[in-house]
Amino acid sequence: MDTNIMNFSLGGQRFGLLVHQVENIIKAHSGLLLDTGFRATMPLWLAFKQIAVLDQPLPVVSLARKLGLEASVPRDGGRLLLTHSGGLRCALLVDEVYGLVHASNQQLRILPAWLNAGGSRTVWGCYLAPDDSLTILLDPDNIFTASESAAINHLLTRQLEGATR
Amino acid sequence: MSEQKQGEVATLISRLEEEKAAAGAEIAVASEAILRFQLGRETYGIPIDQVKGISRLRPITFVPGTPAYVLGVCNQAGSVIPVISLADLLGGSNHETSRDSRLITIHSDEVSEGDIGMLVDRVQDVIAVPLNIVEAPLLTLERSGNFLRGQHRQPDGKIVLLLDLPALLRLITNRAGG
Repeated sequence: MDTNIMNFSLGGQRFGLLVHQVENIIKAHSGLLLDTGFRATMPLWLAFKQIAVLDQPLPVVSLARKLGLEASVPRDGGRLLLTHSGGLRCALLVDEVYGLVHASNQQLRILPAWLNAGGSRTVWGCYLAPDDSLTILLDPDNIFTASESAAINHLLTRQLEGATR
Repeated sequence: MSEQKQGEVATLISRLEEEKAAAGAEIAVASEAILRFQLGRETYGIPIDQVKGISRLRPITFVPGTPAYVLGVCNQAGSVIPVISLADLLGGSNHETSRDSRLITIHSDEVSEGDIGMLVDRVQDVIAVPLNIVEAPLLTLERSGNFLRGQHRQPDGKIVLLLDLPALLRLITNRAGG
């Protein structure tokens, strides 16, 4: 049975999410950057945006920065992959979305758990493409630590409270 | 045969038997086939029977969230293996590669899930190291844990540092996995 992977680039390298983990893909510039008032205490990889097609502010994560990759500036501002992480709806900013790849089980490899520092499972495997290149597969649920999720949730609540005042 | 002659023959036989026993003992000394490789200025060795393959460097795909000594993963004939910078792990930080750089693929069921590739500066050769002349490693050489099981002084005086591969793999997997 095939596994469907949403293929995208970050810092010149290919990454992937399982397609059912991606709710939507939108242009990164289609949103209003919100001022949370907590900019100084927020990590560099995090911002809050009001996306036109959505009815509430959304945490936007620069995936390159979060993963420790060199953050590049995409030609057209990049794309936002709407997903869920640790119970949070969020948008992952990526450079470019290549599209869907159908991977057979023979093309998927599970990477050893010890590769993830600190025991997190941000990376779970890779897809071996017919041209022998490798696409690193990420688990969006493990992108944030529990404390990061709690902090984002807290900021989001404050943001929502501010908006209703 | 005179008693004197008999005595001489007995002495000769006894001496021959002693020499034979000594030669036998020499032959019985176990030796181990060691793959020698270079990392910076040091020469290291690992048992060749723990080596699954040696290859030229292949493209390495970076994996985020791994410790600094994990360079990434590479496609080794359809197998995807993690690649470790041994220089980095053993205390240096040399990630530079050259035409001589090689990937030594090792496997240990005990401590790792599958194969691991170790990036080294140069692979030299395989030598037989008699186990009875393996010296204890100098404490000053143990930079980042008990990863050396000994050292072998070669006839030319150069030292081969013998890596304790299971200990090294345990170090890699425990450190990385937290």
